[in-house]
Amino acid sequence: MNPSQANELLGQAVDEVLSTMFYIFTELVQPGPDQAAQFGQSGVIRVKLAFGGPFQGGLGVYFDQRFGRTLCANFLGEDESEITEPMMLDTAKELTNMIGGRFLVLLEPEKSFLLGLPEAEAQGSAEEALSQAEESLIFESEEGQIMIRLSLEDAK
Amino acid sequence: MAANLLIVDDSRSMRMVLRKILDMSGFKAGQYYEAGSGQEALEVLAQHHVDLVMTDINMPTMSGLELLSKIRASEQWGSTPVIIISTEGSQERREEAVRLGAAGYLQKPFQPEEVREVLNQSLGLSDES
Repeated sequence: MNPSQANELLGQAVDEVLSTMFYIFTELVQPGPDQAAQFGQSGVIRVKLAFGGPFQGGLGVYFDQRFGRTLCANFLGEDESEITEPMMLDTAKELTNMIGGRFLVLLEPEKSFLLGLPEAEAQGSAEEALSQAEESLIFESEEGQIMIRLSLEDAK
Repeated sequence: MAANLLIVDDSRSMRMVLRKILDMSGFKAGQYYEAGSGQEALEVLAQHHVDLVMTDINMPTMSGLELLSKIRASEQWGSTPVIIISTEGSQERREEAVRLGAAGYLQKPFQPEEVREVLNQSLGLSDES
């Protein structure tokens, strides 16, 4: 599996999960000169998810709290003013879990993987997020950006 | 007959979303019960009449498949249908769930119609129910 094929499957997984469960529609973009603005204004939510099986690796998911609030409100069907930080983190973990699970099914439909439990933090570092930008996929929507870094290694 | 449902997921958000999706799907539920872990689910089953259990697989301390095995091994609730919900959708995982006695399998992300269809099948109801 070459990286571009894996990234294509990851893009498909992100698209399916965000549109079906979060009513958010994205397109893949390149990191731009204003990338810092995406992660510097309202704090960064970071989620990490590890997996093992026929392939091992993990996902790092980054987005800012403003986007996280919209994401959570759409998911739960609540008003954005009702969304708390624990709700955002819970939703961020669920989002990452769904993207990871869907990606792995697209990668190897017949085989089982072991998904770890996602770990989320609300005060992630904008610098760390930006340092990952070149090696990540960035998805842009009307509501904001979500950045995902995939690491994948053939376990065979 | 309106069925009493037990939703088991360590994510409170996912439990809320499932209830909303069930309502949106037009499924007529009686009482909803919720549990944040397999252990809590067993406590709910001991205290209430539950017609169907929907459980996530990937939970800390007791997985959904372990919970399914415990329910199947119980004299009291052994015949209660259990639907497994997971982000994992491989054929291997689905077969494992069926082998352990799952009545249905839902892979996230899902649409309200899929949820209703799997619920009705698991309860032996027609799709108009």
